[in-house]
Amino acid sequence: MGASCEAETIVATFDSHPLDVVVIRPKRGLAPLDLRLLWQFRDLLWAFADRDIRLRYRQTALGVAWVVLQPLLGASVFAVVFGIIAKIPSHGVPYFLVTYSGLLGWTLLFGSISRMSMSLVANSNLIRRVFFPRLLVPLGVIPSVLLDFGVSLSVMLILMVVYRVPPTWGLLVAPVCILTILCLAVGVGLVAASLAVRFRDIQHIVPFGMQLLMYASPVGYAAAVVPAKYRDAFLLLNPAAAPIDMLRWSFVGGEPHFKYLAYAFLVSLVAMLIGLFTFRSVEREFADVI
Amino acid sequence: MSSEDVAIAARGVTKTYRIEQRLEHSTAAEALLHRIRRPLRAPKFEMLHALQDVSFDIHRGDIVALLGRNGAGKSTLLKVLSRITEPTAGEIRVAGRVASLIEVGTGFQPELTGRENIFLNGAILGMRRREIARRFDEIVDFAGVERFLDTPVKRYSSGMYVRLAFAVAAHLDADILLVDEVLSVGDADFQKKSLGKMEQVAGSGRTVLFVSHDAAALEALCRTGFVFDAGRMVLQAPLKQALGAYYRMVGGPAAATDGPIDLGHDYRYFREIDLVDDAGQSTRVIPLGGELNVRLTIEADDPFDSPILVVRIDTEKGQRVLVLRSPRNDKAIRRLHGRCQFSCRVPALPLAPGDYRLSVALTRRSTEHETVDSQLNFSVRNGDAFGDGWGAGANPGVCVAASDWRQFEPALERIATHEAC
Repeated sequence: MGASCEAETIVATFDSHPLDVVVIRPKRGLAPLDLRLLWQFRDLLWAFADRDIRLRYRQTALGVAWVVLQPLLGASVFAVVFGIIAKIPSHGVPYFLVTYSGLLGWTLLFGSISRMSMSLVANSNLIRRVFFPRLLVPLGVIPSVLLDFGVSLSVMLILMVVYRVPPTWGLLVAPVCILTILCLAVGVGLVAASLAVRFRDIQHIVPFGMQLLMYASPVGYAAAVVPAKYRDAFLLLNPAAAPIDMLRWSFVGGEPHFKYLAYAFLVSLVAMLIGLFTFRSVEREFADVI
Repeated sequence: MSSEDVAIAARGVTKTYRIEQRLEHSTAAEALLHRIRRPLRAPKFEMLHALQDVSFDIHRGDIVALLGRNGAGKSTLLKVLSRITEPTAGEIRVAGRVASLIEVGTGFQPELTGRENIFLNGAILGMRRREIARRFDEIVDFAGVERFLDTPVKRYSSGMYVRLAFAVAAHLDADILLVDEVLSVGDADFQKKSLGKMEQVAGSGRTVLFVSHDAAALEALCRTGFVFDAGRMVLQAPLKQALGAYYRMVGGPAAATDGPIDLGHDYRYFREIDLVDDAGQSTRVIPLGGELNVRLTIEADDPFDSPILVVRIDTEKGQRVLVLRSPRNDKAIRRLHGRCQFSCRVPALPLAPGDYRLSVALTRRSTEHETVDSQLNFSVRNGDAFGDGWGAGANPGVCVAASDWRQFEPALERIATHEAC
């Protein structure tokens, strides 16, 4: 069985073949991203997103209203706690706007990471039985998170009109902040998702870790109220802090941190690459372990 | 044939699973604790060779049956071919698009409607959206669910569910089709339809690899058979010859032994299968018309709600003669959790004398979660079961039943004269 010379003749004939030839063999080390395969399956990304969006609000009484209600209620509670009870200064900006604009970036980060981290386990049935680029499972949750984000963003614009906050050129920074948050979320989310396949502890660690991270991030308060001597450490140690704070800045103004946003952007890119390659490298054992 | 027609060329394909011995660390803390307590002891691994040095060429248009006991490597080979799992060693060259009909219905979302599920499932199987749209009517027509397209599939009957799932998978435009035990779904009518569809696929020059225990279906479709045993391919021959070798293999050593069949941890849920007599002793022989009592031991680490247990009995030649399902009304099994034991009893087994193979399965709705195929062989021994002095004759048919014979015309007193005529 398995004469090696025979195998070589086949290579030759396959090369002139009109059909796609796939070579299945064990792979080692860092796996390439295989963008071609992702492209072939691009419709699946939308199918997953479509499923997510349809399922989330089916059989709910308020339906899509939840997308609007959640951030509004969240921001109100935060405004009461941080603005009224803790009396954190906001330099003339209505405190509700401070918390709402802070929650914008935070919800994007939190939603992506928490949903990505459990996405593989939730789809274990598929992974055990069907072949498709596994990367599409965690990436498939992003469109629906973005859709929610888009709705919250529109509400933000309405709130600006209501509170008579004029838009500034700062708005142009918002896309950079959003991109930074997304890259960071993809990086962390992919690593968490890969680990969750082997260790279900991730489903406990992620919500807890995210809760801690929320208090360490400028969500209910602006980074400007952090005492000056800690502020550098605050913005350096938590790469999510600068983009969340700068996203708020782009809407309601305050004290900008361009330098830290640039730093966070680079950290996020590295995190995303680490996430992608970690995922691809452990992907081959998913079906056997999950 | 020239090598230009080769659709699948496998060379030395090996798949080894490393199974850590009885030390399942499902949490990171457990794994860490274990390393701290025994820092010097390397973890012990048991190697499970699911496939060992398998090589073959399959030409374009070949229809090949993969035969072998459960755990012989057939399903692992299909998984490697469809790229669900990676081989440990060796290489396979596959020319053309591969589609697998493995456990149809995987990826169906109960909350989504039939229409939505067709698109989702098609995309999961690798179809482009417009490709699905093009074949949409054909799929719906084949499944016969036109009226329920906009109903969530959770409200479908299990038959409709399975038909729709099969229809989506069967309408993939693929050059190579991998089919694992999916022809046994649905009712007799639909099975016939599926077989017809497969024949049509086979006739259109596509390459098909089949795993099935339905000998009749295999004989209708395949020309070649590969026989697997313990991960190795032991025979590559015309189908008739391969089937013969396979039956000799499964009828062999397993048949003689009594005692529960210990599946170890080969399966996720099933641990032991046994057949016992009235006294509760393990047996492999049942008297004609006697009681069938199957004992199943199952272990579920996580709770498994509303399971349906299935016992299937096939003749030695692979014809299915009896399917027993656990109830789905108020007598249903609520939940599996931890170690559970079940017995399935048929007070008077209506099977004719002969040799049979028993398979068990765990399902929920219409999704098969686990099947243990033909691990247990038993025979029905002839005897005067019904007190009519007969037992079963030389050519008894497939089933037996007690029967009541009476003469009512002409009346009894006139029999004597009739016989005289």
